[in-house]
Amino acid sequence: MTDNIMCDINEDGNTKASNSSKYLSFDLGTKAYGIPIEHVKEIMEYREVEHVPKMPEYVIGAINLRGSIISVIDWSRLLGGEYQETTNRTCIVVIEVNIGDIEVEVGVRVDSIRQVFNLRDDCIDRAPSLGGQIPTDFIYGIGKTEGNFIVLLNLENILSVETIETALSLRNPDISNDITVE
Amino acid sequence: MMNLDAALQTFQEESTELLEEVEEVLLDIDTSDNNKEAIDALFRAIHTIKGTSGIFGFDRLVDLTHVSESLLDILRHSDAKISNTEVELFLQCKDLVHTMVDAEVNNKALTDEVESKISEVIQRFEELLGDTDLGKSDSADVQNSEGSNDESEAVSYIDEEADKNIENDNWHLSLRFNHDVLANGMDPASFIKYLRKLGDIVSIETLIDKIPSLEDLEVEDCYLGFEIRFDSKSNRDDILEVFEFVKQDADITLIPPNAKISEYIKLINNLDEDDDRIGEILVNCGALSADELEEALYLQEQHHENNQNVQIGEVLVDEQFVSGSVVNAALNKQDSIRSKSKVVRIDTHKLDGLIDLVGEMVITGATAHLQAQKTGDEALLQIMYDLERLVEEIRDTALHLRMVQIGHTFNKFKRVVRDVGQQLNKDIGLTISGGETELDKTYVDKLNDPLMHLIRNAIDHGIEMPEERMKKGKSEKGQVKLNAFHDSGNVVIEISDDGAGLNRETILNKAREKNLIGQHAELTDHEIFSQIFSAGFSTASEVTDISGRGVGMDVVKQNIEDLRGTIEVDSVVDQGTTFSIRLPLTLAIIDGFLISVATSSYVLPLDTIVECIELDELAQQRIRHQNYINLRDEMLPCIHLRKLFGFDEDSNERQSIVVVHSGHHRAGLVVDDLLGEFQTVIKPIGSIFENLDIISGSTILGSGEVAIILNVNGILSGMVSDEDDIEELSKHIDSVENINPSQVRNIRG
Repeated sequence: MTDNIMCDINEDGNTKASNSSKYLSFDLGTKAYGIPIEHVKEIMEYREVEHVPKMPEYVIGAINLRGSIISVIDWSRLLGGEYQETTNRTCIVVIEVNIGDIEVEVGVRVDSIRQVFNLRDDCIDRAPSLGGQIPTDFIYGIGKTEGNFIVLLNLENILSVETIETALSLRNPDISNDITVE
Repeated sequence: MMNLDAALQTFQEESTELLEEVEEVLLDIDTSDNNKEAIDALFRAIHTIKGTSGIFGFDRLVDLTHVSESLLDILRHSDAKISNTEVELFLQCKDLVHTMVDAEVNNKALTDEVESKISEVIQRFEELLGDTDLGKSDSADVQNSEGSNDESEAVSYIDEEADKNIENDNWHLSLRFNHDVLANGMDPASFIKYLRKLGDIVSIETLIDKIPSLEDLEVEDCYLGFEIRFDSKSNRDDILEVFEFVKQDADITLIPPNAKISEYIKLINNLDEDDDRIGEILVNCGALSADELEEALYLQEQHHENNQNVQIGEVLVDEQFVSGSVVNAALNKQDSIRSKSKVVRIDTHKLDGLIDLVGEMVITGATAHLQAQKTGDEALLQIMYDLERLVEEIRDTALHLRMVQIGHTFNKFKRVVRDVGQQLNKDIGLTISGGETELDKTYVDKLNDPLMHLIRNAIDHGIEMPEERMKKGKSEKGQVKLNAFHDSGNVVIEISDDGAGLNRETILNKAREKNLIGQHAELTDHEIFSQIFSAGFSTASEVTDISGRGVGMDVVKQNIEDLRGTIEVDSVVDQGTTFSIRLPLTLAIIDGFLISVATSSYVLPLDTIVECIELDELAQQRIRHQNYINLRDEMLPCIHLRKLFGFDEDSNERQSIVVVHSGHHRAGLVVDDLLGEFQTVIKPIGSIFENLDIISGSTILGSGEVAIILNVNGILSGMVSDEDDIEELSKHIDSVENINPSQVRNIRG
């Protein structure tokens, strides 16, 4: 099933032939998210992460990845979810992305890996301007797959310290839960 | 030519270096006693630039450098002292050459302004040349006057042994170019063409013997050799200078006019063509007559028999072919060439690669050491110790490769001080100390701009006009000082002036006006002065060309912080202002001290540690509830790292205190365990941690675990706000029981 082009609408022979890209989907808590596979460097079993003091709770710490040190972030916490217990399905996804001129390599703790799937570009909707819990800056778009929606993350933003700080400072816990996508 | 770009690049780099040297010498010349040496140095630098420019065919550059060289040549052969006008002119010339080199290398046209400036400078040089009786503006004549000295030398030495000379007025040049000369971006033809500027080529024999058959011929290789008869009044150095840039890619032999037979013998010996063939060529191009050749070959055989193990120089002196002084001169020349070759240019990327590898080696060494300890094999452990020691040495050497003295950077500011001072009509002296202090090359490059700004500021805003200084009873001449020294693992650079100092009230008012501080905030002097680093802050009521656009100090601060450094300012009214920049020594590896807090290990830079204190039961109990201890009758504030790092505060461990210092501050860090010294390879830590001021990096332990390197400065500055409390506490010091000195363990020897 990994090779299906998953899209249940727009099958009416759109004028333009649309490109498709591969995405990796994974779970954070009960929700599924996707990121472009070309930025995924490796996926490893979760292991002990060295705690870095005085950091916000979404930063777990740092690990030694074959001689280089990379920071590990808990997206579950960053995206407003609860801390999930480590299970044997918990993984660290090592992501490589260029933010500006700087190449950033970060590990992300996810609760489980789902699959790699193809998604046509025209199956991706713009992120709603009023999001739910997740700051809209973090969202690249909403992918439609087999009748389900999957949130595709904007890696440049979600891995940049500045954007994270801005987004979190804008997030108002009082109202964010009341507004939902229509 | 394949590597023309590379050659141009080299030309630009070399010229820049030479021009820097020129400037430095020129700025020193006012005070320096030994002008002769200085002028020689100038001459050499200008001459080299001229030579290279000639090879590349940059005619305008040759014109300009030629006149300045001519003037220098006259100066160095006369006793006249270089005048201020001349220094000024040479400085202008230096700037122009710099602009022209840039333009030529980047293939840009010169602006009309520059062009007219060049003509003006050349004209002024020619006027000066006209003033001095020796000089002539025409280049050929100047070369004649240059040559005349050498000629008279040559004559005197001919007189001694005239009978042994070969009758010939021409120089003989023997050139053998290496195969890869073309690949290296050098065209032999252009050198020969340039040679013609020094005189006439009487005859030229091209050696084609080395050209292989067509199927073996590499089109990019050079197979040619040349024997040239050359009629010129130039001296030996000048002729050799033509080939300066190809001397590594060619064998060059130069035989002066009326040389002795022995010179030709040497030539014949040295060349790898068949002796008879060489002789034939020499006869062909008119260097030797057939008879002389025969004599030469005969003498050569005798040499082979009699003097096989004797140095050629000795042979020549013994047989009175050349005078001792000539040989000495030649040897000196060789020495200077050798000392030149001691410097190797290395791409910084290669160095970084090496340092990375050494870093990996240190980590792997630590791992190997742990494994060796597990085996308990004494012999193995001994070897491991030896190996570690060697790795440490390699580490130090590798790190040292990146270190450069700051003096070079400091010296560049002499010109700035001079120019800016003149522009503002202030007489200002620059005092440099600690120029031998070494720091990482990366820093040196990045320090230029902030230093420039601080110095300009000091001259513009700091130092008063001479009249004002007189009124205040200070000497008319203002002083700017640049100082550098090492302090607890940091490099400190101080920029100070003896000017008016910072005006506390003006800064305070300005800061209030711009809402940088609260209207009624009570601030210490230090806090007020620090306001000048805020963005958009400028106290100069008048915006000048030199400084004061209001975008200065905050940028300076940012630059320094990007280098993981700090900047502080201190000032006393009417006595001056001092800026202190504090930078870490290096970027790669530090001596660390490993401690543990809760389950994690942390590294403290060893040079921030004053001592370690183990606590007894009683002190253990007490330290849990208070943030200070009485150490030898001094109040020492303490920071509980467990608390700071957000761990569960109750520890079953027997805690210890590490006394650390940074700048003026001292504090005790309460830790769970002391694990000992550790060679710490600093690994960059993700950008996400960049804003965290209590950590400065991370490292990998021998076990493969990650350890965080703590930034003592950052930890202590978090504490500084409580300092008043500490002072308050100090008053009650007697009420706190002293720590027993026997429990103090000094780890720093």
